[in-house]
Amino acid sequence: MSTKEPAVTKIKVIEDADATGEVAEAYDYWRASSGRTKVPGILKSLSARPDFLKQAVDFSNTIQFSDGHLSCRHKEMIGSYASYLNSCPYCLDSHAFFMKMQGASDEAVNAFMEGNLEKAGLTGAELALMKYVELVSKAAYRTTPEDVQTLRDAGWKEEQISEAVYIIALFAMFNRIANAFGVPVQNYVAMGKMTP
Amino acid sequence: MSEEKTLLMPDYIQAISQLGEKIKLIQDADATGDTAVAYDEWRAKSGRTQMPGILKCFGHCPDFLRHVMRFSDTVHFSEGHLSRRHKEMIASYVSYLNRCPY
Repeated sequence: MSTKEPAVTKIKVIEDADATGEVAEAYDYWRASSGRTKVPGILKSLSARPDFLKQAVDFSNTIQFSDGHLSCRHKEMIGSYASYLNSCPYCLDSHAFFMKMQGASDEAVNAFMEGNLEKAGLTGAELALMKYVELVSKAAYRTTPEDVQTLRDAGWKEEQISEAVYIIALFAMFNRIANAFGVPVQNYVAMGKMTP
Repeated sequence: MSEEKTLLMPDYIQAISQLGEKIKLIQDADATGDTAVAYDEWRAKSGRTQMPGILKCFGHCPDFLRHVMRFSDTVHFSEGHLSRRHKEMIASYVSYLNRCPY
């Protein structure tokens, strides 16, 4: 099987070259915001609603791709681990790569890619946060007041725990979108770079 | 014992909301600064006074709260490729499957 075959998704999306009207405008909105040219598969999955696509670009910049109560590096750790737990190869690859861009070591990136965080060189507080990512990702309804107290005891503040939950939930959304559409993995980690 | 039942959902889902407070929410009366402004924006738009619990969950990040209100209106609380009725059917069933009594 040729690897040059165009990647096909389960649900049809609008490719860069086929975009017209509002979809073309939304793709250009992302290009202007990112400085890149090829629209990533996860955003093409939103092409049925270009108005929502533009909002997704905006809220992702607000909550994920900027320092908030949590640092960008911790946000990418949360995104990578949630994507591992939700079995989303597309998001795991891209966010493990973004972790590296935020200063994570190759060992840490590889550990997240394997879902083996013991090898990631994390602090006790970071490990406690990742344990909570696991609890919320697997069954948020089962979390307890004690689980939250464990995070407070590890030094995390209420607003940081809150922001962690938004990011875990954001990945629950994007992981489901990527997997339902079947967005092809971009292999950023293996290539050591992003597509332009 | 009375036979009346106020909640129609099964006990194993209803019980989930009785685990007690986990992460602290910013309540209506305690909101200050940008959180108070964002809460007021929702009140003005909805014509209601008490912030729903789901939106108070975003009180620690009022800028994100505004995004959530905006994209929820765009994709959920409006007719799109799907009708409002079908969207609420999807939301209800997903909430049942994810065991979210709220």
